[in-house]
Amino acid sequence: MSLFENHPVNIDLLSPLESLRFSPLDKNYRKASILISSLWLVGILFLCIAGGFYLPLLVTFPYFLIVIGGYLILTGIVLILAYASYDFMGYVIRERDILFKSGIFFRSQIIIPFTRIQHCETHQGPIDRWFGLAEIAVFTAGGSGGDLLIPGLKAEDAENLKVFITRRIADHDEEE
Amino acid sequence: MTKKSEFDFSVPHRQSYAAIVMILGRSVNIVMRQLLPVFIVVFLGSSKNKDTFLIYVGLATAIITLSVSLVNYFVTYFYIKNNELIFHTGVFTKKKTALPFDRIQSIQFEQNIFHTFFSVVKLNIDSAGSDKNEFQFHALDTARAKALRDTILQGQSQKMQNISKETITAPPENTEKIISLSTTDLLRAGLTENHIKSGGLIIFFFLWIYNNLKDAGVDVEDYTGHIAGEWINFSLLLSLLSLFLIISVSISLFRTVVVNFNLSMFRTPAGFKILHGLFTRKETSARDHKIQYISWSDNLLKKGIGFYNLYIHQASPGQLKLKENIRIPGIRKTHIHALTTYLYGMNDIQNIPLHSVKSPYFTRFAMITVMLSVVSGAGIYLFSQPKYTVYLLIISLFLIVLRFMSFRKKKYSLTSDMLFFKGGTFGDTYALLPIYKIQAAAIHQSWYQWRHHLCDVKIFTASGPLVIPYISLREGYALVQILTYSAETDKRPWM
Repeated sequence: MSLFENHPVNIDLLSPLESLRFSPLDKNYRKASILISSLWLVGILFLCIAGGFYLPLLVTFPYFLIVIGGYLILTGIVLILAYASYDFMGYVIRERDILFKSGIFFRSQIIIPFTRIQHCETHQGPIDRWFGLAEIAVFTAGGSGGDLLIPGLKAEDAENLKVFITRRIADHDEEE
Repeated sequence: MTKKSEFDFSVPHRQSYAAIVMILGRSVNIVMRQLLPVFIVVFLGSSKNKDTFLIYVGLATAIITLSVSLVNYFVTYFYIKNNELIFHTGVFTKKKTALPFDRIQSIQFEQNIFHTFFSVVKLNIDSAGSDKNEFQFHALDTARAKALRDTILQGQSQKMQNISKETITAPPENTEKIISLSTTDLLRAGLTENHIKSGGLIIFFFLWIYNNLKDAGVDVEDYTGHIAGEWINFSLLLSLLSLFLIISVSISLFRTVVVNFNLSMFRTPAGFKILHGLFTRKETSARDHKIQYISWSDNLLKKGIGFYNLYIHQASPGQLKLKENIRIPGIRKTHIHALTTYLYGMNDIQNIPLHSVKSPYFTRFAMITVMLSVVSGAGIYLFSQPKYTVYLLIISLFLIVLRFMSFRKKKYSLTSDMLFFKGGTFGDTYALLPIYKIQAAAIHQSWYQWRHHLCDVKIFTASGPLVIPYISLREGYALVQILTYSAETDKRPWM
């Protein structure tokens, strides 16, 4: 008996990707990303202040206004992006694969079949811990970017998802 | 009945003493590369004590490298425990790595002139993991290396034994020579290589020396300015250009001939075996199921004589390692047909209908390039010399023409189980990927692509990604669906 059969596939019968309903990330993730962005902005503010000590020209008129203006514009953009990026992220766990979408201006949607996952990990940083969040990282072979990182999951969900994926990998190994 | 090895690997073993020479050679190489700028600066400088300085630096380098090599030799040892190969190393940071036999994918022997002289082999042990799980013994006695290989093979489970043995000891029978490169072929392949790349290496080397000299405080502009003022004329420029061309061609030619000397490719029951090399005779194996995709390309020079460079892209389970890719120059169309027939049972690639990518792949690029060059050109015209604006416009035009040429050639095709890519700018490049080999697939859209229902499809394989840019979103979704369906349902081993 041949190991592999190769019947033609009717594409209309495949589960359509266009109409998939993505699950949103945990609501706390929006707060967490705003907090992380704010910390970066505070860091940049300190750098600007330090720059003022070394380059006194920066604190003279009109350069002072340019620096303040630039910093406010940057703050606005970063915070808006941190707030809005949440709405553009989402994931779907299907029977045979996992999907994740992200990006406001540069959108991407990646699909990884469970049969190709090498291993998966959950990570939890201090801010994640504060908000009760965790992220899950899924790795494929080759390490060439075909990996997936889903942030902003409820810590419990991330752990359950990891167990689910690990079980799927084990099932697949047994089938082989 | 398991044959009893004459070596007891349950106790720690060190490499052969010849390994000290190998490690020393490597250390000297690294140190010399770091110190080269210092030597150049001292040599060119006018210090009276430069001989003394060179002697001191040389002596210090010799002592440091010798000590590091000796310590490295003595802290590196291996043994076998519970069907695991355990490896200790590290001069400053101690490192212990345990590699279960069943994770070992391949064991390869390598011998260069030094190895042959000392009757040792270099042993590479690759595993199905990341780079961290890769062992390299610089020099092991041949008998000890063979015994280690046999012990590992005997310790592997039945399933793994079948895989590993194929890699390590491909049976001499049932092999068919499918490609053999004569010296003439190699010379022709070497002469038609991409000399711009070799030229680029030379330019990079000189820029690197220039920067190092500048960093070291040598007034390079003073020298070069002096020379430029007095000597640069048309004939000198022409001579330099000719010299540059001769060196570039020589480097490509030398590299091609040395690496691929007497290259033969055999078809074995499990895959391909390639023997090549002038000074270091190498044996490389490519098992069918480990091959992710193949690609081949030519350039304007190669087109004239019908030669291609063939690349066999193999799976690299951990971080992407380019050394997994096998490159064979001087390949003809008939060889490619033979290879695709062996691997995929198809030899009619020429007749596959191809789909083009959408025109914004070119028009969008041209528009952005024109906009950027107009803005920056205007800036340069107002604040700098107008002649630079002309240079900028010429470069922009050149880039637009290149993109147009690339657009004309960029095509793809999907058959029942293969994905075929065509591309290139001056030459042609082709890639053939069995769709069940994919690892993941992604749809990327810029703001512009989103508004025009276009997308790029990125296909991840265990040997790197392939991209189909600027196709309709509908086409992209359909493609990704078919690819992932194939990866999810196909039972063939992909690695």
